[in-house]
Amino acid sequence: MFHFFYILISTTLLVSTAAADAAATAPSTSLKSFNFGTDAVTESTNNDFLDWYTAVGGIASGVTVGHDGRYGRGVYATKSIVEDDEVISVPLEWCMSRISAMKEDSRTAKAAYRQIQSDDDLVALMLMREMSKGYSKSREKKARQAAADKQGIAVLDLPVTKEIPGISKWAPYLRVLPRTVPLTVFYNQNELNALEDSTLSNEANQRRSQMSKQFKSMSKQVKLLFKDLPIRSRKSKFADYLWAKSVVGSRALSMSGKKFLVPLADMFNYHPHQVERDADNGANFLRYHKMHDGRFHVYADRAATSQKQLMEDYGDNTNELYINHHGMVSNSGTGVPRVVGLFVTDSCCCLMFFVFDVFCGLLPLRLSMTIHLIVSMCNCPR
Amino acid sequence: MQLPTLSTHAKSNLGLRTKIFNKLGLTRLKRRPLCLVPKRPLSPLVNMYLLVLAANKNDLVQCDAAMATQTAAGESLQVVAEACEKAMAETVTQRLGLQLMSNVIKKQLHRYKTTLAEDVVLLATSKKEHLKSKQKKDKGNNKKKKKRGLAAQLGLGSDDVSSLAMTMHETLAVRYRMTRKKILSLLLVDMASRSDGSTLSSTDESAARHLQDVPVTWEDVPEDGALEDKVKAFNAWFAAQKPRVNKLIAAAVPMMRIGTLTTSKVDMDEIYLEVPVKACMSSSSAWKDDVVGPVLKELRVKHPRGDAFHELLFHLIYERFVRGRQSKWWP
Repeated sequence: MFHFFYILISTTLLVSTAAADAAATAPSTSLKSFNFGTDAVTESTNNDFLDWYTAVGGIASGVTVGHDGRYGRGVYATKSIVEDDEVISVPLEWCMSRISAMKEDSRTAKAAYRQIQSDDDLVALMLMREMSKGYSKSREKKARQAAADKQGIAVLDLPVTKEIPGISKWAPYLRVLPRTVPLTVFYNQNELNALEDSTLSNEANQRRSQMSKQFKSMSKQVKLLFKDLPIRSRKSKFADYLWAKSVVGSRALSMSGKKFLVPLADMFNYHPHQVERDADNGANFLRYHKMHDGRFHVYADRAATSQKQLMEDYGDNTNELYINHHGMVSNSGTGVPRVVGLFVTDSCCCLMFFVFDVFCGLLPLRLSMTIHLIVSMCNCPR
Repeated sequence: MQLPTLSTHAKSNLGLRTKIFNKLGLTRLKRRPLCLVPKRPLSPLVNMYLLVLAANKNDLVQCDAAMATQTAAGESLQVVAEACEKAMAETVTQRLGLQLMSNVIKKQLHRYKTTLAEDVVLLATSKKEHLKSKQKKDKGNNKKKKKRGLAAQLGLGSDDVSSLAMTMHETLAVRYRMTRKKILSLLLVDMASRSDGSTLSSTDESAARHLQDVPVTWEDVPEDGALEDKVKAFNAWFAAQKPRVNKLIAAAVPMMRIGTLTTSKVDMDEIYLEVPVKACMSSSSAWKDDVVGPVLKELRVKHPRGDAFHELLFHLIYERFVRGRQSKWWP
């Protein structure tokens, strides 16, 4: 099975990736990225990611990764897509989550993961550990060559899905993750002042100190987690934690309070849905994101024509949540968000989704249900 | 944003108000975050809160009596609240309630140090500066390579980005506050249209009638008068032009100066405004003018090709700065 995948991947690497239209209507096993004016390095990184994605069993039906000057990386349609089409399906073991963390080979790492209650922190620490294992392309090449030599086989015969010493098995995915996420916790005082919102800037400062406290409180687990990795390659500093937390906060999908970093599905850029709707406990998000048969499925929430970017509505959130946790602001056409930002103050609806999206992992189920009941009774327009 | 409170906004009849507040559980609102959605009616709880705050003694007594009757009949809290609302159905009270809410929103808007227009300028300037520095960088790439070392030795910072260029975080922050201001402004317009419900929820006919009722005419409004009065005068003047179709009304929009509101539902592709040609300023109206026209004729001898843009420009200058209040376009 792995050989079969690998032969297909090696053929895709030989094909030129310059013309985007050639990728149209291609099955997910021969995925190529779309290039709308980016550099060759980014394009090659995208293609490496797509090869890895298909090798680990990810399915992309009618979509691929693309890069343009405006949005950066995004998901593009390779054929005409209609609403409710299944576009992405990824095995859960290849989504960064508690499930995949517990499949780690290292016993000390597993023990550390077991001690971490919050899903947010767990996925962030998992990200830090995988980054520490190594993720650069040159390192991957060397590690694979060394492993192939040791086993006496060709590099191409090495299964992509197996852990190789000196490199993370998620390396191609880690390479496409953003190096910075412009969240309010990273703002300096001048930038916070520019918000002209004392509540928001105070909250950003508080969040930063909370994160610092949280990181300190996990020092034992962090030590345990990185015990088997060489000190020089460890990415276990507070700055690394902040980065990992911001990536998880902005890209991880939340299902029933559990966090999942889903390759490819986390690359959708935001655009509100055409049809205006009331906030409804994130029902709209759950309609297009489902988990069953051991896979994470994503359905298109709108139609898209071939070679156009397929965007996604991130759910019933306010701009406050977007600037704090996604590093973006929604301006839909007229500059007034549709569902996003309909609430002028720290709205109950915002609070509701904030509780579920951000803190659910921290709270026991009964407590989070109680909070849900309390906030659902408040004064939201229905 | 804080809701107006009993102690600060309604000191009279405090006992009666507190009694109704407690009966209807309106104090809950202060403990909860408030959701306001432009173009959507206020939630019943907020509406009731504002009504009780704004009501006069007579209304409060009627409300209390209606509530007592319904409570005695064993009705639910919702029915009791509806009875109270009906008893206070006077438009004056409703208008006052909305006014209270508008004041809260206005206060919030005034707290911002910059206006929406200033933010737009800030973003545009920053974008320009970034473009300029990028072009500079591209142009003198080789030269700079040599100079940079010297600049660094002299302790000079990067000359690529000027102080007007904002960082990515600052740009995001400005965009964020712009969305807030827009929502608040929209809410304010919404409140204004609701408090003026008779005009805005009715048909063209009633809107036109309302305009005729406007006491302010443009002769009454001084040059430094309130924007609201100027808008009223403009609406009256425009209605006098007798447009065949008009589903719009001008209104003072906070942070955006003047905007338009619809007076009735406008469907897609529907003509919602027909402006009579005689009401428009154009190069042809300039030619027809008894003062500007002859000047343009003289200029045409010198410049036979003519220039519609400057003809209109001269016309506008003459009407605005020479004729002033005597101009038929003054409003």
